[in-house]
Amino acid sequence: MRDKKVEELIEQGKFYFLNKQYNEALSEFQKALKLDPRNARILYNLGVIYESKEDIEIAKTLYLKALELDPKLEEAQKHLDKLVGTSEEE
Amino acid sequence: MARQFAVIGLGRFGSSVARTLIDQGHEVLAIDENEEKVAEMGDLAAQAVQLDATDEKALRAVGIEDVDVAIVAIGGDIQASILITLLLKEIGVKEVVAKALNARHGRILQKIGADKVIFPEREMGERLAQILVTPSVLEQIELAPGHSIMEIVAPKAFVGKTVRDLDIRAKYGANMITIKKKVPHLTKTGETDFVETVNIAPKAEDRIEKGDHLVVIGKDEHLAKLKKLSSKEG
Repeated sequence: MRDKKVEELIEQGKFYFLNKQYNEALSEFQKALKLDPRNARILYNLGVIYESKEDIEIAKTLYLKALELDPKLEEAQKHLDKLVGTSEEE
Repeated sequence: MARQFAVIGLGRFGSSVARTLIDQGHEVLAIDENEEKVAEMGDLAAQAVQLDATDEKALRAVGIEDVDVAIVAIGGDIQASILITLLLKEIGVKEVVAKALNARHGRILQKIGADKVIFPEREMGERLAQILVTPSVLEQIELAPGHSIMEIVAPKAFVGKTVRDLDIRAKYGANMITIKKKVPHLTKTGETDFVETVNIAPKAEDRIEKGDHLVVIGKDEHLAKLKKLSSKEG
């Protein structure tokens, strides 16, 4: 029952994300995270949304947390590498 | 072309300058009073010697007059730094670069003939402050004195407007040469992601959206106005 609710929230979040309604997308994913706090994919998705909104530091933290929970989550590693690369140039 | 450098004082600043020069293929004569610090640079530098650089004879003995540039990177001892800078100019080193610890020290170094005075702490601090104050300036590259190319996050006031509406050239005296957009999509595994599209020839009817990055080129004074606008929204 709870899993189904989480899936629904994630789907809704993705829909908002694809329509560039980032704040709405965030709120859906945050609700999903509350129900399933150790879900690396939710953390990763939140990271992508924050990155889209140019909140780079928060995005980095979220990718790191996602990787802590699931070290094999390639997407998170890819995004993190890109962000770390840019800030090292500073 | 490889040049000959002398780095005097191998503290954190001096050794990092020396390493960078060596990495770039230059010949470095590394000098410090402290034997341990000299040993650390020994494997990297063309020559690393332990000597008291306030001693003119010792400096001449290692061939200091033949270097193209001498960098005085003494950490805490202002008196030694001044004395060494003076000696180097008297010996006839073509270019002497000296690190200043504070403004007064900097003025003295200039007066006694340092060709360039650097304030690494201040310069780093200013740079850091710049980054903290204007987090939305992503990169700025100087093209020529007074002219730069920079990438900013599109200011809120620009969102929803077309390139024609904005008329950046007339209003800000700068040219927008690129619009970068993040286009959201789902990956094969169904996760959210975005691809970055780069529009290198923005047309009059192209529209700016939230989160776009703009690359603009122009005079620094004109870019500063855009920078201000971009940083306001935070």
